[in-house]
Amino acid sequence: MHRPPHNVISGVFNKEFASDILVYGLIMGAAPLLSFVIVVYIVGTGDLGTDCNHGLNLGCDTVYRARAAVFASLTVLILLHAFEMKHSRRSIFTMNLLENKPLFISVVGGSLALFPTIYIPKVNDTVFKMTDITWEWGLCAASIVWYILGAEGYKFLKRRFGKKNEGIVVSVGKMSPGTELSRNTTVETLK
Amino acid sequence: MAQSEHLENKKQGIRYIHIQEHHFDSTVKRMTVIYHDLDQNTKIAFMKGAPERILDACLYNSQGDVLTDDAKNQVLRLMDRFAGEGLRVLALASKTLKEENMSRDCVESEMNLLGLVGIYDPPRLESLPSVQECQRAGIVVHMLTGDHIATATAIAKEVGIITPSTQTRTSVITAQEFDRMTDVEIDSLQNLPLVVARCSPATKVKMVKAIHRRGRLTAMTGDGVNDSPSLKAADVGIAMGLAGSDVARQAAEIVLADDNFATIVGAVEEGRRIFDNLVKFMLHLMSSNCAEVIVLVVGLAFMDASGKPVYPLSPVQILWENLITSAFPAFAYLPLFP
Repeated sequence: MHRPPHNVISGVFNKEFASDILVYGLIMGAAPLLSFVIVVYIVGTGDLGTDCNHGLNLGCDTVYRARAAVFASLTVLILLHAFEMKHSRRSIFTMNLLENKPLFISVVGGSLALFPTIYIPKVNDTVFKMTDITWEWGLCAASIVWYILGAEGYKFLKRRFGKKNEGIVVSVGKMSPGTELSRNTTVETLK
Repeated sequence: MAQSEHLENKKQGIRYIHIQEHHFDSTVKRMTVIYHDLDQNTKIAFMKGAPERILDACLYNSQGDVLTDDAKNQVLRLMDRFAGEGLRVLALASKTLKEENMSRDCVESEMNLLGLVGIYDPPRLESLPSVQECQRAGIVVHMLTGDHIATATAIAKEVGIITPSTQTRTSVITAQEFDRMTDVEIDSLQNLPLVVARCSPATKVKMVKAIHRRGRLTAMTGDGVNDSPSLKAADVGIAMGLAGSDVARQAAEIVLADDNFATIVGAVEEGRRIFDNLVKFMLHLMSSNCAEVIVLVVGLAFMDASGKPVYPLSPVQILWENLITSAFPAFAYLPLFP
């Protein structure tokens, strides 16, 4: 309640909203991709096997491990991202993550749900087309660090250089009655 | 009326019998009732209303002497003093009628001025913090009232609509002044008046239109029949549920069950939380999907020996990310939670 009303013409979609989607999308997309590259090309031999999209064929083990690493890091990032979205500019470290209990439960639950999908035999390879991973969890941890650095850096830049109040609301100066706003809700009252 | 009936009433101690009423009209701002006085066996008219309108219709004082200009000025000064203290001022007048079936104009002329009444109707305690909350939230509160300008100013100050620091020459004006202004003149004002006194229904509509021309949204509260046109003209009409007239309630989009301004502020707060959470939820879903698209599109570059791309995510994994991983946090951003 300490901000002016949002712009009714552009509504939700404005420049900050678009740049948020792109920047967070890039940050969250880059980490799993890099995990895939590391598992297949840097640690592995670069052998992508034969027809690994359809089953655990010859030489598909590396690809299946890489998929599990991609899946794990993407899942963790999406869940972490839900916390990061609690506020458009405030750092995640200043937030009370327990404030929204359902959010906290769904993030913890979503993370725990990773383990059965990766480790239950048959489910992992026939349904999800991936296999057990070990050291690849390190990539998942690295993704978290990368995401936090990227998202916090982006938020820092927004706090530092972004227009005051821009984003979900229009930019205005001092909020005394009668102040000119570009577009604004006005309450009329009758005595 | 039959003589026997009059006698019956007299026995019961009743002196006046209601005959006729000229109802209140916001254009003349006064009303008159006509009674049969059984003691004097005459017809007598009583009038009440806005003092300046009553004075126009008065020729005599209560003693029956002709009202001099001095006396009229004295009455107006007294009225200003009452109004300056935030009192609603009514003037009362009466007249003994000599003819039958007089027209309203005829009845409401040459009356005896009886006196002034000052009524104090204190604004609710929560009004001041609510108005301040609105101002912090970028909502400009205007007051369009039928009261006298001095009363309106005093009440507006009491509830914080105008403060010494924000008051300018045009922040408080009368409806006569506002109605005289052309649309161009109104648009050239730096700020619209915050308080308009002695408003008619047309003034209120004119104000709503002026706000719309400035490209802003309006929410309008009101209770009376007079407010209905402006409730309809505003983007959000808010009628009073308890004191409101049926017409106002029909014209409005929202009916307040407790007639309290603070409730509107609460509703704005609730609405903003819903909007904010909607933005968070959309942002989360769309940026997560953007990430998935990047992974999958760039992933097309990973080709095996036969030249077919090897997907970094299998179809079931993608479904899982969208339907399980993203969905539950999205539910958690329901409007209920901060």
